[in-house]
Amino acid sequence: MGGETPSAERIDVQSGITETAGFIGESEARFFAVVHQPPVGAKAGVVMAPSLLSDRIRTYRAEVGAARQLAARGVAVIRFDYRGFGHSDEHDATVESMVEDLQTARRHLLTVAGSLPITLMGIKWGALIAATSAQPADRLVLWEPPTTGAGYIKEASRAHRVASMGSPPGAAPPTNGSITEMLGFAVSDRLQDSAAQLTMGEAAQVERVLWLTTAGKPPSAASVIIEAWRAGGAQVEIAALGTDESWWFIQPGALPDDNLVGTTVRWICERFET
Amino acid sequence: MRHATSRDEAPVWLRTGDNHLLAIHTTPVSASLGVGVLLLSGGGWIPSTQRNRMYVDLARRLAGHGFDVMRFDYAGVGESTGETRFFDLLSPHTPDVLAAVDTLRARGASRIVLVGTCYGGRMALEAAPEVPDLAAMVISCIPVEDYPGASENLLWHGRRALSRDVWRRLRTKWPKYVRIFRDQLTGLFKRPVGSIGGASRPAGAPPGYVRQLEGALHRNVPVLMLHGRADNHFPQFGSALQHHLGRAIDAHPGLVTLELWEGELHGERTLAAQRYTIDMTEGFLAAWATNQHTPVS
Repeated sequence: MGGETPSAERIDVQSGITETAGFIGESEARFFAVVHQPPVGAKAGVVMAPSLLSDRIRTYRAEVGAARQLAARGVAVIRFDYRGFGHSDEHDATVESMVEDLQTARRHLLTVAGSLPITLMGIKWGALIAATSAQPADRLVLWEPPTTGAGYIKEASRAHRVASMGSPPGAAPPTNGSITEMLGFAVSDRLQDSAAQLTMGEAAQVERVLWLTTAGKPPSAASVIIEAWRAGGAQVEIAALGTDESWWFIQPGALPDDNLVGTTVRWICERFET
Repeated sequence: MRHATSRDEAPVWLRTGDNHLLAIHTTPVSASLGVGVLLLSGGGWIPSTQRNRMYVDLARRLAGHGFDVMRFDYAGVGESTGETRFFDLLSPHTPDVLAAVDTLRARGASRIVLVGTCYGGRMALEAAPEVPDLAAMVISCIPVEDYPGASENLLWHGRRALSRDVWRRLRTKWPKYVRIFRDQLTGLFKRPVGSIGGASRPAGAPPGYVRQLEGALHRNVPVLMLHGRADNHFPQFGSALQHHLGRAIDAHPGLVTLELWEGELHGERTLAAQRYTIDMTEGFLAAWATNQHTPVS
């Protein structure tokens, strides 16, 4: 991993997994990634596409926890920050650049861990990026997926207004030129424009899908997508965690959710453990 | 001035006890000052990027001035191992901070600057007595109350949830969010909240963080303190300025620069607050470097 700057590797004494953090990508702007590898040869691979805003902070430890549990059970995992986000380089990110980042991460994982069956795991916004990037025979794990990019932006704007309700007078206006402020994050008009075209329905045909929601069943708009996948021969499972919580607000629940992580890890590992 | 990019950064795993902490070292992109700046995040499980990656931006800007900069995830946060269930101001992540300081020294820094926001500001003060080569500090929005086992965020949300106007608007528009705020409020009363100012402090004695600040000031360490007038704990901060904290600052004229922002700075929850914090920190450290240092070859 890396190129011009070194990566950092550690081996976990208890589980034997190896974690390598570094920057990858061939373009001027590179992105930050962590590869979690099992103690012996990997049986499968997972590429995790994160969310974008405060929901990313909220789900960060669950992402890390899932990656570590998967690696301990023989699955190689790569997690990354899109260019323009997290530790990655500055970049005027769009849906297209994020799909590119996921594909680069996928190639990197296959280079370091060998040819493997791949599961794409997308968290909230990342679910749209994962579904858009899927190749035939891939599996998908989707955490609390929105059905459209516009839907995600709308929900974030609504959460921003809720969070701003108690703000004291003199708080900064929410927009500034080509940037819209959402929950203390800068979202460019360019990203919003590209998000407006993004729908889950454009996903390639996949083999199996796990659709995880925090509460109840998926929204009605999702049923069309799910039925289309099923009609194409995909097996789609829906799991509700029953937590009824919002990931927009950073709170003590930022700790990994055992049910969320456990359900995900079991589902992914079933592929090769049975 | 050129800012650093990922090509000037190297991830590094730090060891503290049984834990591995992920740090990112940003190397200078102009003549090195031989000074290491450690960026300390707030509580609330926010990774070392801070909200909207403001610490990534700050690190890459400071590298343009010749500083070595390091940001890292506390144990139980971000990429690091371990578990943190509460951000308790009375049992902080000081060993994590000192491990990062040691790494900066091992990578060539002969003097150290500590920069921290909220919980991270308290971490800077906690660690200061154990950093003999401390050169400067920037501490923003430090809590001046000690809540054993309680969460700043919880209190912040709880106070907001108490607003009648917020409740009225929420109830009519978004019932789901009413549940979220109600749950947070319930949680507030379930948690043990300690006495204000430190449970075991003798009457009249200054709180620990004031003693730590005084220690740094005795060593002639310049300090930039930032606070927002609209911060949730500004009234307590203002009160502290009238008592022990103010006396400590007054006893060392010229060493503490106190900047009060009109808006809400705590948590850097807005882009404006992030920009203000970055600009003030960069400006203070750039001026300090100009006054203190000639670049080392």
